[in-house]
Amino acid sequence: MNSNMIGLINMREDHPLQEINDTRPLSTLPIGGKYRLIDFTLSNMVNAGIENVGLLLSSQSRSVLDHIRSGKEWGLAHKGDGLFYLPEERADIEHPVEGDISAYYKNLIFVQRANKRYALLSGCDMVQNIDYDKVLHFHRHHNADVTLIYQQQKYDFDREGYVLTIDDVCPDRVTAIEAKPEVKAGDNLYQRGILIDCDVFQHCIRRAYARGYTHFITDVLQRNVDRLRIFGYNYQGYAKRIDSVNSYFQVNMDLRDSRIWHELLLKDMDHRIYTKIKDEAPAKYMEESHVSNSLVANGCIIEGRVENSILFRRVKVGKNAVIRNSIIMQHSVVGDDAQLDYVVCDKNTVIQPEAVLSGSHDNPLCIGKRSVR
Amino acid sequence: MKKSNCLAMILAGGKGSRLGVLTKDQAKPGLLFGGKYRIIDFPLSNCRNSGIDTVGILTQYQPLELNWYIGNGSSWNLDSTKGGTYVLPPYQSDGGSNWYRGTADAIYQNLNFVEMVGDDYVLILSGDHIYSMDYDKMLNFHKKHHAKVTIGTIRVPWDEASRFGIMVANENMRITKFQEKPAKPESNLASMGIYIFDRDVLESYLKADAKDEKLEHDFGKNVIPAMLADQVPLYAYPFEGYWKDVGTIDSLWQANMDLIADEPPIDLRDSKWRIYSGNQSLPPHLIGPNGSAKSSLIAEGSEIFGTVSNSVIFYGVTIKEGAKVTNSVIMPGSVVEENAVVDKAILGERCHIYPGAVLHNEDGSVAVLGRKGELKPKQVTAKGEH
Repeated sequence: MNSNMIGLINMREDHPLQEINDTRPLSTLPIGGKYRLIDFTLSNMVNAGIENVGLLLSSQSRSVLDHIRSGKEWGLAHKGDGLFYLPEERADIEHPVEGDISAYYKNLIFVQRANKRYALLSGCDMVQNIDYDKVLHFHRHHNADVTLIYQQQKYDFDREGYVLTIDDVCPDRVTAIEAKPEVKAGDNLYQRGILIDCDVFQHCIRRAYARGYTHFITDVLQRNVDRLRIFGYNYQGYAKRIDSVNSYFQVNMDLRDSRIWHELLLKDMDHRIYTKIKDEAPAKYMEESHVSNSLVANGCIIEGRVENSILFRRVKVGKNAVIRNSIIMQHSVVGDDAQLDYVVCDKNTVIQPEAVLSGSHDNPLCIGKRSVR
Repeated sequence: MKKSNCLAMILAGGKGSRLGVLTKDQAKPGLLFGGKYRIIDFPLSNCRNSGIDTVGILTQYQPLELNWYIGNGSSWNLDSTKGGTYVLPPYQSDGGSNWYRGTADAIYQNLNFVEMVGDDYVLILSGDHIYSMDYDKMLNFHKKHHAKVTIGTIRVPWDEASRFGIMVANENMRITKFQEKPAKPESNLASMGIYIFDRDVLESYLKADAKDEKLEHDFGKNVIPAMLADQVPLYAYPFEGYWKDVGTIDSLWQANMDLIADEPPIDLRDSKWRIYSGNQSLPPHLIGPNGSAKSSLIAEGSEIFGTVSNSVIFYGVTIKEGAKVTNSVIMPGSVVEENAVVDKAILGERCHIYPGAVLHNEDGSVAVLGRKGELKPKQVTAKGEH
């Protein structure tokens, strides 16, 4: 199924979760036992039939290239189209420019060459399994120039974000875009997903760049909210943004809920989340293992007790070790008799036998990559 | 890039008739094993890990699922520009169309493919066995001994030797005698059905074999004895390690149970000798709040809300609250509903055990349900009911 959309993923505005790993881009943060954060956005695009995806890379992108490579696992290793890495230019690294307009402007050639009608612009910090086909249908139905994906908040969010005002008279029409320092319950929080006509996009970006504007959402969309046909698509499924250790921890823990596990990871066979294939054997539970309420990836060997936790691929849990409320990333080893509670172990971590480590629900203890404790 | 100069031909047309319902609609090499594998993953992974880059797979019996599974071989990294993976079903030609009449005939009918690839050595494998083996070592042995044919062999217990093709070899491992399933074996060196041929020798003997209509066109029964009679240098390569033919329900069940041991006889986790397989892109499995698992293998995409012990759970399986699965092999997509009991059983793909049903054979034999088999609510099986 081909699509008339291209995807453009902007990785340049995201910041690493410093507590976990201060150099790894947010996009390759391991999540959900076997995935990297970008897998969600990339798979959502591919599942909507998008065959051209451009990745606006940040300067630290070694792990992105290592993870995605040719894009084969996402079905993006095509002749002609497929995956396009769009690296930063040297000048931009030496003299960083604010905002996203410059990045879009310098990569308009990707949009032109793809020669499709619509562009889907996205960040890569959302965990969701969204059907972009439905967004496209919505966009066409309203004959929109721009569709912004938002979610009406059920609870106070207490973080900054863009809030959309939706018209009472003309359904779904966005009449204002406002940056709020604290998003509250009932607000329509913009989710960093934009579907836009390529012609409109190119035109707007050229003009904005010529005028020295910097931010697409404020300088282009907010300013032209009366002139452009901007609509808001209220996505009602599970969607969470990863922007802190707390949100990271919460999303991982959410995935232990069968309903959310299904919705995000196994909605149906056409909406799976793809990731790099590792050819690991099924997880092995030994005689003495006690595991409950946990998510366990292939390749693990478990001898101890695991509760309310996420084990990534090839994690070893030693005899009588007790892991509670923790996230243990790939290739980590938890020694015999060790005890972990509210701990996030980065990959390749070694926890020594009998070690006792704990954090708290609001402040999980983060242990760096390859460290030995 | 250097080519391997050794073409692998995998015989994957076998029916595996003693496996009953499990091979009713697919060939034995496509049989599921060990939580995520199919038997053919083992020879294919061995090929990949041995540096072989061209593989022909000869299919015949119920080939659809196997063909679909193998695809272009990319799952095993056997889709390189140097070679590739080619599924070779029987075909029509001017001489008419022929089913493969035997192992030798299957290769004979694809000699044009063997010539086209042009490698000097041809490795012939069976797609029916579970083992990890470095074929490159066997090829080096073949070259070192200036053999024309090298046969992969393994020492079997003497009391089982009469079930195998038995090689008698001298101290240099040159084969002096071949006995097919002998009543009184003179050796316990059994053929593994793995052969390396010099291509020219293979071609000439297969052409001769094909002409004789009286023969069964089988490597073990016809081709190897004919070569021995001609005093062609045949050598036995001694393989040591796990090698399992899962020809029966019992042996399939046992081979799965072998993997649960603390020190399993075959290491599926060796990162230097990976066993590759087709990928399902499924999420990590979920153990629910009241779920538990002990002494088991559990694959991705499964949900365990009941209790599982001494079992192999494939991908996409659901074990619901209160269900008990023990000593069993549960194949992909099967569902065991609330409070059902499954003990010492093999469930084929997408089976459905309804709430409260019990699957267990009183006589201690392995209970089997074929693909999409069902057990109605509270239904209790007795031996032979399904």
